[in-house]
Amino acid sequence: MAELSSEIIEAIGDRATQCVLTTTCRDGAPHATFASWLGAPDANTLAYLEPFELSRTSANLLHHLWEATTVSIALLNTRRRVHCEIRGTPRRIVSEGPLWDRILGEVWGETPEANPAGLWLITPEQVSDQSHAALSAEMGERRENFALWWSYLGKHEVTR
Amino acid sequence: MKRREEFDYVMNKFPDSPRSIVLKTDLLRRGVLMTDEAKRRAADFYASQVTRRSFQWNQENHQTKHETIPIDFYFNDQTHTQLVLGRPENDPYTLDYLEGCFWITSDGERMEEVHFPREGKYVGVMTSTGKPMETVAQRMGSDSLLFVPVGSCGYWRDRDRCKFCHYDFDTARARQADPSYRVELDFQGMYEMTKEALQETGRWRRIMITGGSNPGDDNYQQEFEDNCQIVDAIARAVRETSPEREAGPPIYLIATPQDDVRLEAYKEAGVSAFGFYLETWNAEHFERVCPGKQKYQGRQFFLDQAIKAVDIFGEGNAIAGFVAGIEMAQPPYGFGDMERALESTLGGYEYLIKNRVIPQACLWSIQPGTDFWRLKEKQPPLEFYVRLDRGRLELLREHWQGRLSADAMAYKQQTIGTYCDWQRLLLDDVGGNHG
Repeated sequence: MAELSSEIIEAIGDRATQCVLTTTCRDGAPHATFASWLGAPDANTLAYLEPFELSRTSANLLHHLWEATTVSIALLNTRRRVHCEIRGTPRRIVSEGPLWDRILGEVWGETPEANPAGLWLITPEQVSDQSHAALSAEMGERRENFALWWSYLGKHEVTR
Repeated sequence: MKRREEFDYVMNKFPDSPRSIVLKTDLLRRGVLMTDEAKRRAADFYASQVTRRSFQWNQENHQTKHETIPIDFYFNDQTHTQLVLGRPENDPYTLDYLEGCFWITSDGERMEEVHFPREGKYVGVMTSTGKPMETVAQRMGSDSLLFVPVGSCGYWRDRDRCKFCHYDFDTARARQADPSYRVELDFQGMYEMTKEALQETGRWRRIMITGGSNPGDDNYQQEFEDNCQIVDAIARAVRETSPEREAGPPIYLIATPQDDVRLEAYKEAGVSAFGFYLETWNAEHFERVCPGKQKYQGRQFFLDQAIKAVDIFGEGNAIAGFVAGIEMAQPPYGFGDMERALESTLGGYEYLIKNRVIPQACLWSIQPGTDFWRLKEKQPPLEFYVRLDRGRLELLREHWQGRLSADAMAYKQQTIGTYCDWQRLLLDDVGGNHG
C-alpha cells in the first residue's frame, strides 16, 4: 500500500485537477474515462464516484475488485505542479454512510438528475511522479549517460 | 461434501464464476451461525426492534421469541445476502466479528468481509393509524422498500399450499413470538410510511409489493382490488414526494396472474413491473408442488399471462419467478437428478427468455412449516445452483446480448436469490465503450 501525500490529496480535492481513470476490459483492451468526481477521504483511500450502473468502467471495476487487480488513475494540475499516476486496487463499493451522503449532495448540486451507481474505494498501491523533472531525474538513474545523449541542451523559443 | 470442499470443488470447476456470488449461493443453502460476539455487535444494526416476518430466514424450528439478529448483509462488492440461520446438519458458515470487522468464515478462514445495511430513517416514526412505520414496510437490501401487507395465503386454507411454502406458518410464528404482531391492510399507513421514507432523498430506488394469493370465491377479485388500493396509496405518496422528478422509485408488484383487463388496471394504478411465481417449470411437478395454483388457474394461464404482461408492462418488466432447487426434490415433486433438473428448468428459462419474460428465482430454503421439511428433503448441491445461474446468463446473452434483463430487481436489493448478482456480468456485454 502507498500513502498519498498531502499535495496529492489537496490536488484531488481541487476541481481544477484533471483525473483520468483507466481500467482493463475483459479482452485486455484499456478503457479510460475522466473521473468527474474523485476524492481522497484519507491517505490510504481513493474514492471514485461511478455515475452509471451500465458503464464500461462499472463493468471493468467489478472484475478488478473480484480479481484483485489494479487500475490506474492519472492526475494533472499544472498550477499545483501535480502530475502523477496512482495505481490502486478497488476494494469496496459504498452506497450509504456519511461520505456517500456528502458526495451525493455535491453531485446533485451540479447534476440534479444523477443517480450514481456507487462510490468505489480504491487502495493506492503505487504513486509515481510523472512530472518532466521527476521523469528526467529517474531516467538519469536508470541509464548511464542519459543526460549526455538524450537531453536537449540547447535553448529554443517557444512558439505557439 | 463438507462445506469448504464443496465450495472449492465448484470454484475449481467454474473458475470464472465470481467467488462472492458462489459464496452467497452457498450461504443461502447452508445458512450461518453467528458467534456471540458477532450477535452482540450486530445487534446495533438491527435498528427496528420489532417482530417481523422471518421469511426464508430461519432454518431452525425453535423461534419462540423475537431475536435481535439482522436480516441481511452485504459483501465489499455489494452482493447482498439474506442472513439465513442455518441448521448444524447443513454445515453452516460462521458470521464472526474479528479485528473490528464482520466476516463470513469457514473453519476460521476469512471468506468475505460483511457489512450491514443501515435502517431507514422512518424507523420509530408512527403512522396516524398507530403503527410503527417499520411494521408497514421494511427495508430490503440497501435501497428498496418491501411491502408485504397480507399475512396469509389463500392456498393454505384448503391445504392447497405450495410444498415449499411456509408463509402462514411464519405469520403464526411471529404471533407466537409477539402476541401484538399483526399484519393487516392499512392503506393510509402505507401512504404515510412511503412519504416518510422518501424524505430520505435518494435512498430508495425501488419499491416491491408482494404477499399471498387470495382466490376467494370470486376469481381473485378481492386480491385484485386490494392490490390496486395498495399501489394507489404508495404511488400517490411517491408522486407527492417527488413532484420535481419525472418519476419516483418505480413499483414492482409480485402477485397472482390476472386477466388482461386487470393487468392493465395494475399498470394504470402505477405498477411499472409485474411478476408472478410459476415456481417450477415441469408441468407434472407444478401440479403436485403447487396444487392451489393448478386448481384455480392452471399452468397454461400463468404462461399466457406472462407473455401478455410483456405487452402491457414492457420488455424486461414482466418477470416469472421460480423457487430454484425444488426441481431437485425427490419424485414425484422433482427429478431428484441434477442433469434432468437442469435440462428441464433451463428449457423453461429459454422459452420465457425468447418470449421476453425474465425468469428469476429465490433459492429453495427448506424451512420449518413446509411440506418439504416434513418430507425431509435435502438441499441440492451447490453445483446445481451455479450451473443453473450460468445457464440462464448464457441464455440472456445468446438471445438478447445483455440488452434485456429484469431491472425491477437489483443486486443491492435481492437477498434470497442470485439472479441480480449474475445479472451484473451482463455489464460485460452492454457496457459499450462509454463512461
